[in-house]
Amino acid sequence: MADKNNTPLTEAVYYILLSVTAPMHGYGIIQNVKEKTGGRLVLAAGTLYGAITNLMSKGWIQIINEDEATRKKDYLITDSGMEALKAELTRLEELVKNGREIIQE
Amino acid sequence: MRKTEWHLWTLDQYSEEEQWLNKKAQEGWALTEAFAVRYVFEPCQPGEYVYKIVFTDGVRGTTERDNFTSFLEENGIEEVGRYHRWAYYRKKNDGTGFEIFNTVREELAHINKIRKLSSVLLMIMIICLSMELRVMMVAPSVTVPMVMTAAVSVMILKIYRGLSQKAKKLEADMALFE
Repeated sequence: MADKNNTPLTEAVYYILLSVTAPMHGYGIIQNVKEKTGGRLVLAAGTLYGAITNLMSKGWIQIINEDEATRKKDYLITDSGMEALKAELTRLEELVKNGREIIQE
Repeated sequence: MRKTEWHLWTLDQYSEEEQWLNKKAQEGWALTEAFAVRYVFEPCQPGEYVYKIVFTDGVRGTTERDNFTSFLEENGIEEVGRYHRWAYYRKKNDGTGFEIFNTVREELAHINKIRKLSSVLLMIMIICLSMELRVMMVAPSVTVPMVMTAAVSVMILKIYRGLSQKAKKLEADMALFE
């Protein structure tokens, strides 16, 4: 369940937010996520579109540049988006820490 | 050289329809137009394209749909046909598979949209059936169309139940996985 701290994020949203810490367009996000996860997570175009639409309406990302001819847009994370990303990172660190205390490999 | 084929697929058979289109593409026939039961194919390199069918949210001409379509185009996905809210997409086959959506949540939403449509159709059939029943009281000749309406109703009910089972399975998955 989503709480007021805006966590947990979905895996897709987490990686999209990480990607747009630098300006990036849709196709770039897909490539970046694929690269970062070693090909494990390949965002489907429709999934990415839905996530971007929701992130825009939440004000966590913004369009900083739009190509008139190709309609290609560059997205960038906002301050509130960065806050959510940091909160998620803290949560993930807690998950990993607690996991590692029990399971050592 | 183009060829036209006619084929009836029911609401719940979009996966089978997709497999059929992909098999055609494997055989060197690429779908270029689709409308209801009419499919137009053009020659292509065998396996040049992969196809995907999606029951979309918006209708043609709305900003929301245009944005969606141009976003897909940016990612090398082309819309080749559209009937009602069914959209036919293709991309060049790069061997990595082809999904428009790939989360359980979206798959569930997709099934629920189709389920909703089938329930509306079922309602219409039931209204027709009750009207025919009234007419039959005075004119028994209506029996044949009535039997046909009843048969179609049963078919739609089966589709609805099949989709409900699929949705239930996905809901169970969603309790465990993202």
